[in-house]
Order: sequence, then structure tokens, then C-alpha cells
Amino acid sequence: MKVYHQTGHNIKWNIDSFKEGVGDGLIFSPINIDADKLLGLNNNLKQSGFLDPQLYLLNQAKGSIETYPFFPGNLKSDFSTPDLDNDNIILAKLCIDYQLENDFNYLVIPTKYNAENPSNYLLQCTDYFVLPFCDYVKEVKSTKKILLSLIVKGIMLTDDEKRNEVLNWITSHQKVDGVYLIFENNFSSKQIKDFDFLFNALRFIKKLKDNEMEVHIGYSNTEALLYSIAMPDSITIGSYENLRSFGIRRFQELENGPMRSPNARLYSSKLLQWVDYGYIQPMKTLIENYSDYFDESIYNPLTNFEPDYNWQFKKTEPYKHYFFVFDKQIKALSSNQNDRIDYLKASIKTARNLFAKIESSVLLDDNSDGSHLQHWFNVINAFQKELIK
Amino acid sequence: MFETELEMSLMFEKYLKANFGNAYLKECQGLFGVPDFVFYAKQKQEVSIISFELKLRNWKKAAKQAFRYKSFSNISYVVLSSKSANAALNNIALFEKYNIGLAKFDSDSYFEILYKPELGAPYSENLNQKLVETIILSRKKFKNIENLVR
Amino acid sequence: MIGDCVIIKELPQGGQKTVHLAEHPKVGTVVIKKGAIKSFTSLERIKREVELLSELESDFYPKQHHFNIDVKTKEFEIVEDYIEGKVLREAMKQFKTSKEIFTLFNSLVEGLSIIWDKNIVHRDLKPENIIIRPNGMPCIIDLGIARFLDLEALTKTISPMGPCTPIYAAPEQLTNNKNLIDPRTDFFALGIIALELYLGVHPFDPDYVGNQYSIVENIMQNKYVVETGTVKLDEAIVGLANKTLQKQPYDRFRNYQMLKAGISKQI
Repeated sequence: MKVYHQTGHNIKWNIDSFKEGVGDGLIFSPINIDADKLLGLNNNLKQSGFLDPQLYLLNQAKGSIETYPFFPGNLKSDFSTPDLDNDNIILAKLCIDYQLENDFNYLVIPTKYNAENPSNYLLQCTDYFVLPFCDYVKEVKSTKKILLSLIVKGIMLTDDEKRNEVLNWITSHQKVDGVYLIFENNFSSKQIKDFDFLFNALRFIKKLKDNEMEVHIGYSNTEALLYSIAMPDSITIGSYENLRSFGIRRFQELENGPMRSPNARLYSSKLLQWVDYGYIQPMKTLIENYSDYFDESIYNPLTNFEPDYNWQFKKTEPYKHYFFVFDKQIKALSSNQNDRIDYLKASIKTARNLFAKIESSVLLDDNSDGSHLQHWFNVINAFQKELIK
Repeated sequence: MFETELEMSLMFEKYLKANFGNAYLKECQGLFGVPDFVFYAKQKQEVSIISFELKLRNWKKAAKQAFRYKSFSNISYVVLSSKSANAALNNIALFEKYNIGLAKFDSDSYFEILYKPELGAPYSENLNQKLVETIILSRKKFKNIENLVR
Repeated sequence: MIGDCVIIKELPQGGQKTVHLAEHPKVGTVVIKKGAIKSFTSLERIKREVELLSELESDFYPKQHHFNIDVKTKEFEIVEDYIEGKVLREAMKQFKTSKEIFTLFNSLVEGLSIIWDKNIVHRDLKPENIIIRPNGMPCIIDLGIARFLDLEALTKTISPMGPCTPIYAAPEQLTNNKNLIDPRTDFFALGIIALELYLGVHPFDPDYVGNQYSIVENIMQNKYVVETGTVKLDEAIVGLANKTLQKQPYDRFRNYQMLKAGISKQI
């Protein structure tokens, strides 16, 4: 299973990390990097990754997306959905041409975000994006594999009818080799604890794999470990939380206000969780060998890093540490599905024991504790039963 | 009975002033969590910090927040509205385990300590220092602090 | 074209069309089909597909010499080569063993791949629409006709054999879920035909499934048999059934390449 960097603000950290051998490629973000700058990047940074076209809101000029030739606003200043009736072909050409120019590993078909679930949404995506894109790729005789982007809303997972509709739609596109799946995350907790969501996400991935499609999961967080048992082709690592959890807000033009500094968190592969830095000191004081609960890396995040004001724009240590540790953790997973499942179950058991030890002295909050692990365990068991059927 | 947490907070502030003095800060930012009230007692250069987390109901959430304040406080208290205090009392073991104070407070300004924690050292010298620096020059008065400590 | 033909006889056919066997001075023996177009699908789309089909040059399909759609009267005319051979319905005994069935299907899929590649779905595959030539190779007929009749119209068609029930239709055709109709719909029909050849009976036949429903109802409920009292199940046939007779298209072979691979494996 591959690991891609879900890049965003501070793409330099991902590039540095990738150059140091962490991750298998980069997924580029038009709202964060100029079209020309991306074109000018060294090929070896681009050839293993791909572009996330980010036409989710079609005509929202967020960040640097306007610099891209395929940005709809560049075709027509007040471009809106109905314009796709006429301009879908030219849009496809511009978007594919740009991707070809960069020699990315995959060609990606964009998708439009929809807050609701209108019944003609998928058919529109076919007409607006899938058909013109596939036709143009055929026209230019490119042999690159094609990935179809899709934002998977919760209801597409938990509602049987909706799920069937989406799966039938994805698998009907003969020229498409795989999907770039983005699970929309509207959960209030940092870890996903919803059994229905997680279980159905696994089934969703499995169905696509049964159809011999490539499955690349974007904007993933630690639950990528859970997704791994459905054998997707790749997951992502991202620095900021909004790169590890997809929310449409990031693409909306918001009033320019100061970004509130998030609490610094440290990822532990042993705990399968990001722990708020505020708990490091109590752990240090109250728990023997507290550093055993965390990982080591050249970034020494336990000793070298102290979160201060706006640390998240200046300090890269917690992120690079996570890139390194998580990439290693994913690479250590077996390529055998059953072994992977057994390993994850054992890891969860170990993590829960470690949390029990921590919580004998330190009272962790809901976003730093192991409360997600029981849900993961239940999901794994349920999925295992499905596999045996 | 309190309608809102704000109502509870205002009443409690009055109670604090009347009984413990005005050496306190409200909703300090930049620490670990945001304590509703941070009370300080200065003895020469020594500063003792007592933090309070007020909640109408959710005792467990309050306890988790109060634990955070132990990073920079010597004592941390959960103050619940009397109505919800029983639920917390049934789980007093948690408060004992983590050495978190528990008190109830109602709209009659009736304040009762249900569990008195031991005085402890803040877990983060850094955060504690940061807080101490902001209050070291304060001349505000405090009294009766010893009643809050075992 | 039609004017030059000399009618030999009328062929018994079901439905909304008339079929005549005729002799054309240059081309030889032909079949002339005429009928009404009863479909809600746009005539433009039908015309486009039939144009594509008329360009087919393959032994798997009868050569089309003439087709015309009269948009005003909503009628069609097709003239195509007459194919020597037996309709599969009559030749079923030639394909009883697993190996014989898979060999036939290997050719059948090769022929169908030509239209699936153009994203055209046959929609009406059944033993009556497959001619087995004297050399054993299949020829697929009535490819265009299915375009002219929506399923609703098909069911209302009366033939000498009785009403035409769509007993080879996939669930998505029975629910008229047009968006779901793609080559995988044809795979479903192929699954039924394969099992029927092997078992000698329609796999969804209630007499064998053991319930009170009709064949069509059993298709809707996905209830079918893979063996009967006299015929034991065959692993390979069951394997094919499992990847074609699924209610959801996404549970079937995704594309014809995967179907082909599944079939080749068994030869």
C-alpha cells in the first residue's frame, strides 16, 4: 500500500520529507501552489504523484487556483454549473493538457461538491466530467491511468440505495482505472468513532477492489490503518488537520481572519492516536518511562519541540515526525489481508493496554484517549465476518 | 437552579469575591485548556494557583478539563450545579484517583466541597511560570484559601 | 433495396414486427424486418446506435444491407443477410457439458465484445437470438430490434408462443432503471443462458426453485438453482453464475475483459 503526501499549506515540508525517503509521492493542491511554480518543479517530485484538480466548488477563486488554465473562472468570469453543458469539453482539454504537461503518474478526473444529494448528481458528473475527460484522453492517445475523483458523503456509505447507486456508477465507467476517494468528514471528534461509517467505508473500498479498480484514499488520518484492511492502493499523510480530514470549508473563500493556533499534537504509532502536547508534561511527571509510549525519530519531538504562538506555521517537527512514523507503520503492514487484520487487532489490544497504563495517572480528554479503538476493533470484527461469507 | 452556565459563572464570581478575595483571572488563554477561574495566592515570591472549571451538567467532561489545569495549577476544582453533583458523587473515585477537587454550587450561593484534593506541583513548569509571570505584579487580595486544600 | 427483393415466405416471429425471407438478385438470401418503434428512448439515440451496428463487419453478426428509420411514421426497416443454422433454442443439446458451454461462450463474448467496445448493450440476449452456424460458431441476430422496443412494449408483445415475458432480463431492466443498463446487463442474460444450457431448464423456473413465483419474479428476487434432481452442479458453471447473476451490476464482472478471462480459464 502506498503513502501519498496530501499537500497544502507549507508544501515544502512534504517535499523535504519526500526527498528524505518518506512517502511514495505527492498529491498537489492548486489552491496552495501556483500553476507555473508546479510546472517548474522537478519532475522526480511529480512523476510519482498526481494532481487533485480541486474543482469542488467550480468557481471559487480560493488561493492560487485562478492561476490554473482549467479554472472555470478563466473561461468565463461568472462560470456556474449550467455552463458545463457547453464548456465541459474545453475544460477537460485544458485540465488534461495541464496534467500531461506535468507528467504526473495518473490523470485525475475532477468532481463537483454538492452539499445535498440531488438525484441527478452522478449523471451530471458523467456528462460534465467523466465522458469529456475520457474522450480527450483517448483522443490524445495517452496511456496514463485515469482516476475518478469522488467525494463520498456519509449517506453514500450508510444508505443502502445510495451506496448501490454510487458503486454501480463508479464501476460502470469502462475507461476509468481507479478512484481518488475522499470521505467527507463532518464529525466533531478528531478520530472517527462511527461504526456504520467506518464499516461501510471498508465495504465500499472492498467492492471497488473486487471490481479490480485502483483505490486511492485522500485526506486520511490515522483511520487509514483501519482502511488498510480493505486493501486500498494508497492512503495519505497530511500535516494540518484539514489535510487529514476533508471539509469543504477549506475551499470556500472565507473572510481573512487570523487562524487560531491549534493545540500541538504528537502522533504515536504505539497508541494509534495523536496526543495533545499538553499531556506530555503530566506523563513525564507521573508515568515511568513515559517516552516508551512514543516513537523516536530525528525530530525528537519530545525534547526538541515546545509549542508556542502560531507554532503550526513555523514548526515542522510534529508533522515531519508523523510523516516519518506513519509511513514506516504503513510500510510495515503485511501484503496479506488476513495477516494485516491480525496485526491491526493485536496493535489495538496493545494500544488499549498502554492507554490503561497512562490513564492510571493521567486523565486524557476524548480527543487524546483511546476511545476510538473499541470502535475500530468492532469494525474489524464485522469486516472479517464479511470476508468469510 | 441555573438556566445557563453564564448565570452560574456570574453567581460564582460573586461568591469567590466575597469569600476568597479578588485575586483571580477569568478564562485565561494560552495555557492548557481554558479555566473558568484561576485563583492565586501569593506568599512572598511563592504563588499558589487554584483553577476552577464550572459546569451545569457533564461532570466527566468537567473532570477532564480540570485535569488539564493541573499542568499549571497546584489545585484544580470541578464546580457543578447542585442538581448534577450527585452523578459526580457516584463517581467520586475518579476525582480521588486524579486528585481533582469536586464542589457543588447552587443559585442560593450555597457552596459545598465534596472532595478536597491535595496540594500538588503543577506538571508543566513552563506553563506555570507563564501564568505566574502575569500575576506576580498583582496586588489583589486573597483570603481563606486554605479551606480549599486538604 | 427492398424493392429489388423477391419475397419467399413470411417467417414466424413474435411481436411488433413482420419478418420475411426474401431473395435479392445481388446479395442473396436476406431477411426483411419491418415494424413499429415503441420506445421512449430518443429516436436520435436509436438511430445512432443502429448506424453503428450497420457498420459492423463480423461473422458474429448478419451483414446489414439496409436500415431505415422513418421518424414521422415511427417505423423501421432492416434488410440483413439470412444466416444458415439453428437457433440456439433448437440446438441446446449441442451444448450440455461445461466445456461445450464455455467454448460457445468464448466465441459469443468475442462477438459481443465488438459492440460492448462501442458501449452498445444488446439488451435482448436469449437462445432465440443466437444462431448456431453449421460450423458451430454463433451469430447474434436481432441486435437492432431491442432498441426499438422498451421492455414495457416487449412484455405487451404477443407471439405465437404467447406473451413475451422477459425471462432473460436483468433486474435493472425489469425495474426499468435505464441508468443502470450497461454491458453488465448483457452479462446477466449470458449467465441465465449458460445455466439453462447446462441444466436443461430455466434456472429461475419456479418449478425448480421451489416456490410460487414466476420466472420474472424470481429474477427480481435473485432466486435460482444451480442444480436439479437430474443434473448435478458444476463448479465452473456455478462460478460463472456467481459473477453474472448478481442483483447489483457492481457485483458482476466489471467489464468484458474480466468476463472473457473468467471464461477462458475454464477452457
